[in-house]
Amino acid sequence: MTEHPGYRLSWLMTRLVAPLLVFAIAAVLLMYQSRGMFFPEQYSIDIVNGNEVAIPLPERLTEASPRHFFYTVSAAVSNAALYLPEVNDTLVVRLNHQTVIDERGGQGTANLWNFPRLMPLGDISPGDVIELEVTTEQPGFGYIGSVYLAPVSDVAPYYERWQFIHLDLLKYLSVALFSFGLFSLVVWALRPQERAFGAGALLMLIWVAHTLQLYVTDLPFSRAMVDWYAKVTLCWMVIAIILMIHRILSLRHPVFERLLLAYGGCSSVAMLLFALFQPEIFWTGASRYWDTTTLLMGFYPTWQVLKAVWFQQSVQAVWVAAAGMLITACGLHDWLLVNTDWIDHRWYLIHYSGFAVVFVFGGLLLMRFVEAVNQYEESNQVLDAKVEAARVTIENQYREMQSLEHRALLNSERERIMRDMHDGIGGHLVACISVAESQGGDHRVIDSLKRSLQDLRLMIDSFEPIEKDVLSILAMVRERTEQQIRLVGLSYRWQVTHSQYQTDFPPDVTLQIMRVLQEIINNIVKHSGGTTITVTNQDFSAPSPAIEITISDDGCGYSPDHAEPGKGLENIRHRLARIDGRFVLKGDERGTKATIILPLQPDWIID
Amino acid sequence: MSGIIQVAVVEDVRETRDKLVRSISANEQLRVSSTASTLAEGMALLSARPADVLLVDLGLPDGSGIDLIRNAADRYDDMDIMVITVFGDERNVVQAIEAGASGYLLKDGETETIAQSILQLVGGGSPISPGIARYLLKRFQGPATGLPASDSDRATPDFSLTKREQEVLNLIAKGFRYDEIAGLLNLSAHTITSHIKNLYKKLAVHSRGEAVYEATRLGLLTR
Repeated sequence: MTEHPGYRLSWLMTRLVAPLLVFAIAAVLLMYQSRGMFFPEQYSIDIVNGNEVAIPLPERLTEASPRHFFYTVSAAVSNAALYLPEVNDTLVVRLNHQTVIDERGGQGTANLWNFPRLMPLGDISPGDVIELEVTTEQPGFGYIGSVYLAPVSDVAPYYERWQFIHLDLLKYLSVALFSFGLFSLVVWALRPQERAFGAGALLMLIWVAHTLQLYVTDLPFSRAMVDWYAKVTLCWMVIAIILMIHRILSLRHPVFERLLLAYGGCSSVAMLLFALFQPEIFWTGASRYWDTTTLLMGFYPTWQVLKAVWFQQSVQAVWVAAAGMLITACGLHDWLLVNTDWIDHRWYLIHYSGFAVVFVFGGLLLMRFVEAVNQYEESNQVLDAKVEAARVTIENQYREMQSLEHRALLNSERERIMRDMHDGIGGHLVACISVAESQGGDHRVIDSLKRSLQDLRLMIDSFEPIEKDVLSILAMVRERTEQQIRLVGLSYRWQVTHSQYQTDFPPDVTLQIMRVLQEIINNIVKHSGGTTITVTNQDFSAPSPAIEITISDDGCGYSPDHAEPGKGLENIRHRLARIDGRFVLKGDERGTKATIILPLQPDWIID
Repeated sequence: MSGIIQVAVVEDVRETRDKLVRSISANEQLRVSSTASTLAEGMALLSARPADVLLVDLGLPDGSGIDLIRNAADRYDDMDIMVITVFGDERNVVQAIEAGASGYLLKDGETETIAQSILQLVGGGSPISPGIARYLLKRFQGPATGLPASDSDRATPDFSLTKREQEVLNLIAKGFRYDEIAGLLNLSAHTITSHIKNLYKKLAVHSRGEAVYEATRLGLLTR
């Protein structure tokens, strides 16, 4: 990373600071704009204290409770209710010194910390005195906030809206966090090496634990204990965030982490002891110290993430940083709210940063999970493809090998037979013919010998290792018969044309065709008395692929009466019938025309 | 061509040898200078240039005529060699051509035809059959013709046909004769036969080169 810092800064500005700034401004505006939705100023009433000295709202108690506040009703209101959106401790409400509501139960205090209240008073008339008694264990912290008096139907919508935004929303958030926490926990349990999931689960479950007071209000514990619980879980939340950030950013600080855990454990116990035995110190010094250290600890992960953003410039890190800054900002806000007078409302924000946790950390963990699954699937697919490719290759190689072996076997067999024929029967036949001719032997013997040799040659040709199409068959027959026809004064008029069918006839079919052609030519040689044999060929595509070969001569013409009864022509027909071919013989005084029509079987055609 | 052309015959079957000798002697331009009936005798003939044309049968009792052809071609560059074959089948003829023969003779050929073939060869032309033409097309062009080519048949760039040669071979493969092709392509028949003879020589040279290449590759020879 050697980019110019200016570049990095502008990158950071556009990726992080600017969106965050826009978001923060929007949030603050929304918060203040939305106040009217929750706090109906038109019904606001001024409370005076027991000594009838007016104190401005919001007020802050200066000594231990209980404290009493009074309000004298100035106008009649039927079906009235008190709406207290910000009261943070236990309340007792009296109307003309008669207790209407007492939240203390048997405890002295109930854990309704920071819950909004809507308290029905029935009909009230001018002169009625409403008394509010705030009970708190925490010195200096009884807080009543704004008080609104109006008919129930008027304030109830405000109460409901505030209840939703202030409590219900956070409950849903807790449920979401709990689900994410369980999910992360399961992932981590199944894959312990995914340590970020473990830390994430810890964070989310502690967060849920921290918000437990939203669900359970009537606990048999002292206010100090409840407060201890809230503070301790908040601190552990920060510790969990630190652990998770370390794991997400792959930072290794084992000593620091151990110290952190030790500190968390020891100080939690110390705080518990204070809460149990020295609530005075717990409320005053310890609590304040604790909140502050928690806040300061919260800056550390934010700092780490900002560093990661600065150096790694990853979009993921930007989102984590945004979430971290949001949480830190909310924490700072709440710290100021609790520990200073600078903030004049009771709207705690830290819980809302749970959204950031759900969306960013939950999203991040989900992304990691999905990525892992995708990678797994991808590698599976790659593996499958490789296996399939290997299988196909092996299969092809095997087939090729088989066919090579087959061909090699056929070839070697063929060569052996050829050699044997060449050196044996072929040579002997030639020798026989030579002897017979030189000694002027019987011409029928010589003819027969020559025909044997001829047939042997056709057989050998039919086994030639070349593709046999109609033209190569015709060519081979010509090669074999050229000398024969010349001797009787005939010659070929070779008018073959290219065939659209590229075929490879099997040897037996080739041999049948060649024998038929040979037979036709033998007949011409014997009977025609002409001078020219014209050979043509033609393709037929309908009704099915077929080829036609015609062999015509300019001899005396064929007449069935002159034809040898049966024999030659019958042979031709039989041979052709075996390969589904047809034979047509036509003759007149200008010559004879023999036509072979051969339908092509699909497996003879190449491509 | 002036003077009498000397022909040597190496053939083991006496009847066939006699017939060949008769056929050759019948032509006044030809004369049989020597005969042999075994490979050993044939090799012995090569100690001096035995003839202008050497006729060799492949199936000799004591070995293959191919060896004799190869030896003869090595020693006597200017001697024409013909293989005598019963069938004129592609395999045997091509083997002989690769060994250095430039023509082939059918054993049962008519007297006249035998003499004519020898004279044609001496005159610079070689015979060819459709099967051999197909083999040459396949051999020189490689698998592009659609004919299966084994590994040793693969074509090399320096070993290709001219367009004219290809045309001629294609027509031969379809059954046309030299004189017909000459008419179709407007060439003289002699030009075509000498094309074929050149192709045979190319094939022999290439086959030899390939053999050397193979031998070198296998470590049998060192350069």
